[in-house]
Amino acid sequence: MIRALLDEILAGRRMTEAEALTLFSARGRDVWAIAAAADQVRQERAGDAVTYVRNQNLNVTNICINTCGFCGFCRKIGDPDAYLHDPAAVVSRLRTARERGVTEICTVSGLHLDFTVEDYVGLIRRIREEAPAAHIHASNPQEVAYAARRSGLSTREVLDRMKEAGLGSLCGTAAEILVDGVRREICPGKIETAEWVRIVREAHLMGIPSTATIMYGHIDTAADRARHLAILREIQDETGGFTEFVPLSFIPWTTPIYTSGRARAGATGREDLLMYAVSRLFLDNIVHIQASWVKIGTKMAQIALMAGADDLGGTMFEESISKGAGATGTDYLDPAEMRRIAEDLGRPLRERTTLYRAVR
Amino acid sequence: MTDRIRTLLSDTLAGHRMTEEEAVTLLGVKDRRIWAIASAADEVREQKAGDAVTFVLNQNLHITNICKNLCGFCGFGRKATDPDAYMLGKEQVQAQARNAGGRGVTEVCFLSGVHPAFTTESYEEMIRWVADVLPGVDIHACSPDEVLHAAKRSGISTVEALERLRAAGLGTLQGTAAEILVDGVRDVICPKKVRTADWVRIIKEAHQMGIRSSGTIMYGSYESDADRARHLAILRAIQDETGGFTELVTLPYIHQHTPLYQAGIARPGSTGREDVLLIAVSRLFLDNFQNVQVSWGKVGTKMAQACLLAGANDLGGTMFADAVTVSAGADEADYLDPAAMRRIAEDLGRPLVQRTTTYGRA
Repeated sequence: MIRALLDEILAGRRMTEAEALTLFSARGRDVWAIAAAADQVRQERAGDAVTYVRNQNLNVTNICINTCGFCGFCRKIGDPDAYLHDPAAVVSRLRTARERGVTEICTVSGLHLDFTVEDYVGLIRRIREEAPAAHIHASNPQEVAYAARRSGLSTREVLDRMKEAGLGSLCGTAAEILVDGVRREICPGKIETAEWVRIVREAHLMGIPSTATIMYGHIDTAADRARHLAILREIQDETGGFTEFVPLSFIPWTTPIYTSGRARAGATGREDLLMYAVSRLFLDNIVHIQASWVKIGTKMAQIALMAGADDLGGTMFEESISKGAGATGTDYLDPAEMRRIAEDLGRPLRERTTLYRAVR
Repeated sequence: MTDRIRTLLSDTLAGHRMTEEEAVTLLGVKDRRIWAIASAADEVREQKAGDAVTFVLNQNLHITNICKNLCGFCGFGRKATDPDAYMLGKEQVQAQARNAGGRGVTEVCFLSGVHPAFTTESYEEMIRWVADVLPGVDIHACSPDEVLHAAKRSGISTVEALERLRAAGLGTLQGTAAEILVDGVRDVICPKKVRTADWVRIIKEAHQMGIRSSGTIMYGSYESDADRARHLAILRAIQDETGGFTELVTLPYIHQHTPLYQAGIARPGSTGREDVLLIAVSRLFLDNFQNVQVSWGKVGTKMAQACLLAGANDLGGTMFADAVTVSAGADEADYLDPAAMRRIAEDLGRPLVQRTTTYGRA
């Protein structure tokens, strides 16, 4: 049955949500048939290059008004390891990024209780000043909604100001799982699904592209994941604004939903592989799928590159969010190691920009 | 998929005994054909070992880290004069053994340096320390390198040494110190260890005396695909003759804190592709082995689960300690709770089953 389904998808028929659910539920060596089909589609759609971006990550603060249950990064004011980088610290990091020749600065942060639209726009401006050659990949629909609320603006106005200040693309994070029942449990303080969708569409239609993400492996079911993918595909049909899809495997260790026993201990290897493979087969309108070495390690990331993924993400140079949840070794992956990973698969490593152009 | 690989896989599934050359071919596959190889291996796993994912409730015992070998791929071994060198005595070893007993282990696994001063008597003594405290437990100890060393130091034959170790309480031999059974590779990665021919001889001696052993391969440092295939061929030939191997234990090289890597001689370990293929090709090639173990401590639990779908059927032991893997650079490689193992197995729709060292039911 799975074989027949895969053959039809390979022949060009669009997968239904129910079929995605069926594939997510594969447990035996069917997983390998699904991976092989996904790899074939990856090759047809994205070619053989394994891409990566030289980027610098920057998290300005870990102080957050929310306390999402899956997060080990957020802190409250007064917590011993709470921080808010002052302008000098931010500038220093940006200068380092410029010296490193990164093509992208990637920044999201906690929702600091004092932040207004000025803080977000100001940061973008500062990045443009200090690293004018870098693409600014910043914020996410949650931050946009927060800035709008804090400053009494529409999200459209916030996005306008961000774009004017130099925003290149939005991070498609804060998606988590686009099912309100799940959101109510794992991140009740975050915007609901409809609002996330609205803001992403708004950004896309204003000429601000974004990534698409999913954060899975906690309390979500296969049906939830299929639903989430269906929502992303629908947005992409309408806007074409997603540059890539980035599955983010839940890191449980220090997070409240795990330590309280509510969530499972992250996705299994099977679930990770199927996330890559099924999303590649289902998201026929998104060209690039990123294997997150930060979350699943380099061995699994390489396997993912043979199961639908084509991109290895960024060099990062600094990473605190996954680390806060208990992941280790997340700060930096050297392009030499990325090259080894790619060439071991007989594929070339290519540096790309945020928007997937080649870097000269 | 080229017909050649597809044909080879279907022939192997039909009962063709894979040649060494064919193993090299499969190990070198770089594209999605590896999924066909994994799939075929999973089919063979199902036929040979059934659906159970097995594990052993065991305890590793590190008695000393002082070692005559100081192999380049190791971060654990020390010279006696090193500041963090140690050697435990009877009290400490028995305390650890009692601890292990409290945990309900069925196996105690010696994982130590090969102290230059050890003799056959030393090993007899250490084995008795544990046997006295844990009479029913399988003492899984001594590699062929240790047997050779102990025999030489005591001026006896390896057969005699094995007999004495068994009399002292040895249950099963460790098929470690195999690394890669190609002397040209051993010259580079572990020049002070037992040579291939002696390793083979001693393992056969043990098997023929009724002492079973694991078989191991430590891959991803310096060796080539051809070396790996050669190694598997040697193990298969021994098994044809003796039937004494209980399992193949696959050990990916952990590189970070090891001299070989720091000297630029070894590569930074195996890639995920190599890990999956090593498991799958071992399963397909070693048609006379029932059990293939994936090392969760070395590849992590996600990769370990993937490997359980690619030919492996066993998750090894709970261990409770593994300073050898940890000191080479792997984080948290020392304990995996059976509840986590159960989750891994049941997520594949397979039952977790506790086994003994020799793969009986615990």
